[in-house]
Amino acid sequence: MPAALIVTTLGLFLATGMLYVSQNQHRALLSATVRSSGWVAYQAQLEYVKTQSQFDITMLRPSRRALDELQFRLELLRSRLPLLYDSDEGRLLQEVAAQKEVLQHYEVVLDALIDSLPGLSPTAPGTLPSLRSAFYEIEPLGRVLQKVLMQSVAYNEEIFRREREVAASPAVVPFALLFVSGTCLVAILFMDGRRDRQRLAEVTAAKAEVTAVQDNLRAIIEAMPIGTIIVDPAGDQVRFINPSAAALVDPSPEHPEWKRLIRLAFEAAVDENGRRSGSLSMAFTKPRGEIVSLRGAVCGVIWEGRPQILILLTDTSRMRNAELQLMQAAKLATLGEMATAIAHELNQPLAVIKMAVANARRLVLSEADPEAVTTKLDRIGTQVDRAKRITDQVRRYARMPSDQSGSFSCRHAVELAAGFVAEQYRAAGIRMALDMDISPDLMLTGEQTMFEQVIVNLLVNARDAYDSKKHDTRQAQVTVRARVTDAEVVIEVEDDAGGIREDIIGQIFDPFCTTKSADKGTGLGLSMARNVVRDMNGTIAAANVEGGARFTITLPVARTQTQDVA
Amino acid sequence: MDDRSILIVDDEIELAEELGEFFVSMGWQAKVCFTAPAAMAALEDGLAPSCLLTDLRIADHDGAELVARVRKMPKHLQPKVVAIITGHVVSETEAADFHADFLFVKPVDPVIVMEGVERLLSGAPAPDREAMLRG
Amino acid sequence: MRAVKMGITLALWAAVVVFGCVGGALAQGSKYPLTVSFVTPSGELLSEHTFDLAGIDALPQSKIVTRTPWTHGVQAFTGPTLAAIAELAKRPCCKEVRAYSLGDWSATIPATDWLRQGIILASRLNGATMRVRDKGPYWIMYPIDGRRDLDTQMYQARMIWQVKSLEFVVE
Repeated sequence: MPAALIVTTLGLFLATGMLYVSQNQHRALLSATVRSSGWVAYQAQLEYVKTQSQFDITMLRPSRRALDELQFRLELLRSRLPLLYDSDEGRLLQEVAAQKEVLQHYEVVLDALIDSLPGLSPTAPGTLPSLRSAFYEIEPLGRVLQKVLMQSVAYNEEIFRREREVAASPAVVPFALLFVSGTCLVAILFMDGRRDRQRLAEVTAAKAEVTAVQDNLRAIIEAMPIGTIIVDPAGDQVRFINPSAAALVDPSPEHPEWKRLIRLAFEAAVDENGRRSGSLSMAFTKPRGEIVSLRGAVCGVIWEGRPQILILLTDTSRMRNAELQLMQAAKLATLGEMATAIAHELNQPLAVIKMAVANARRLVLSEADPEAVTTKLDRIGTQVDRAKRITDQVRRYARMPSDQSGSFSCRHAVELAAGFVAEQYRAAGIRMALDMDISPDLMLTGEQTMFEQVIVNLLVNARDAYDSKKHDTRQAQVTVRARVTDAEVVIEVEDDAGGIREDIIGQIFDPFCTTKSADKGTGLGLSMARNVVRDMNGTIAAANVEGGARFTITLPVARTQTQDVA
Repeated sequence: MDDRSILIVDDEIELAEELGEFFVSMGWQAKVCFTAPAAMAALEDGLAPSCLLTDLRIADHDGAELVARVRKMPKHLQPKVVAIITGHVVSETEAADFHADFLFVKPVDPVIVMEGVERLLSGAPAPDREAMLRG
Repeated sequence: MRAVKMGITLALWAAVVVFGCVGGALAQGSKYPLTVSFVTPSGELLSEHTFDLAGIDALPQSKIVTRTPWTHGVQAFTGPTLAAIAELAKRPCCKEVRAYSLGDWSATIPATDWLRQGIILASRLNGATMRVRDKGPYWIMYPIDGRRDLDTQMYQARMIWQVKSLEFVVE
């Protein structure tokens, strides 16, 4: 388009230039025509004729007056001669310029004659012959003048012919060019204009659409049941909250509690490497004191033209509570299953206490050495402690999780869980082997009791798997292994109880999937285990290995630790 | 061994010791073993106690198995009375499987054990198993 | 004393002779007087004046230095402005003037020319009077060199020489 514009404009200039040149030529032609119309020659000839007639009059009747009049005529004639060659008109014609010398000769003659006339007396006898001779002397001038006139006419005819030619062939090229360039220019400008108008219309439409979309979006956000908070990254200033978000803290964005929520959200939205990630799961204490469970996401967004941070939060408290209740129920169910084992375990210290009491009574009654009695009492005390440990374990296991995550020692937690089911295993005749190839200082992030529950669950499941193989003489063994790879801990619970059926191994973590009989399995244990592991940003998987099954849990090592290591 | 001798087998050291001490204080002769092989060895050596008191789980060994082996022993080596003590809650049918004269549930009252054993040794009729289980 | 007296007499006579000659010259100058008349558009004569060279010289003079198509090189023309002549009307003047030459040629000059162009009735060429054969005694001159548009046929026709009378047509 710009190239076409330049070309057209150049064409216009060119055409205008050509037209101007042709106009000038025309004008020059015209003026040349007018100027060299032979007018001057004609005028000169007229004076010549007048002079000639005055000569006749004077020669016929000489008088002072006639002589003066002759002088006057001669002066006029004389004044005309230079014009023939020494004016624009004269200079134009070559042929006339050639007569210059001749005309100048006559000028001299006329000058002499004019100067002599005042000296002539009208009555003197020599006057008449003088006049006559003068007359004949200037007669050829008439012919010269005639010739000049004819040449002028001829020239003019030539001019006229050329003029006709020129008139016949108008400046087609420049006019055509002018027309074409003019039209092109107009066309280009028109199309440009139209395109620009189109573009403008498009832009306006796009803008309107954007505004409409924005308005629509805003309406959607306002109505969404998910709490939406827009935060300015510089200064963590709250820019926008929707009604659902307002329910969390306060309808006013200026409320100081917002800062706390935002800070907690940012802290919670980190992945295992400590980088800001998209999703978060956290507990939040509302300004009134109520604790809610929040799940959500954090991401960057452009809001009102500026880059801001978007926090989405949804209150999962009820769901979380339900989840926790369910977990608790599953736990208690497991606990119920373990009741016999627990009872048995408690019976051991009780048996000793009973025996010791009987023996102590006997010692007292037989007035034996008080030291013997105190020994017995000490023994009783030790057994009571033993019993207390067992009940502590049960209480610990049974209580509701705090839902606040923290750092805990992986090895310690696994050992606690293993210890809890140790008696059950002993009673069932299953060997439990712990292969903890990790340092006691290796920390995990999460809720410790829930993690312990997962291990307990796996161990209980393994024990239950042996029930159907009670008559197998081979020594049953369950191995719990733990090792570290990079920034992850891998915990494996492996048994040789025959493995998991191939047709259900895919759904084994689904809720209400159980291989145990109705009174033994709730089917919730593994799905709960998966939830807990997921909350800890880990994975759990089941696989069949030679002779049994292996459950593998992979968990990220607690952040601070990896940072130290790094 | 004379009429009032008992072999106590339990991997719970403290319990076995207390039981032993009790029977001794009651005038019995008591030997305490903490493992099944030790007990077998003692019996094969000709201990021949009048009573065998054993737990169902003795470390890696099964108390019931011990009892079965003992029953297969020659009469002169076998104890006359076999009593089993256990921490588990067992049903009646299971108790019958054990081929024991008595089945006591922990925590046991040693007096009851002793009286039961004494009664059987003196030729009294077989005890009411159910009553034993309840006790 | 007597020599001084004779010298003075001689000087006086010389002056008379000179004056006579000059007078003669002047007389020749007044051989072709200039007639200035004022007429109504319908042709009715309002007033008429006749000027000889002295009378012309008495009017406010102006000078135009220019080239012309009929002369070689730059020439200096001196004479009264036509505006000054037009003022002799003693009334708000004129829409045009008809200038007549000794050869009975005429040209009509519109008032704008003397009001805007400052045209003159040249009586002197380079300080000297002009003979009839030199296009004298009077020549209407435009400031050709001063303005490019005067170099046209139309204006050249108005630069009439051998002027013998000026007939102003009042409005």
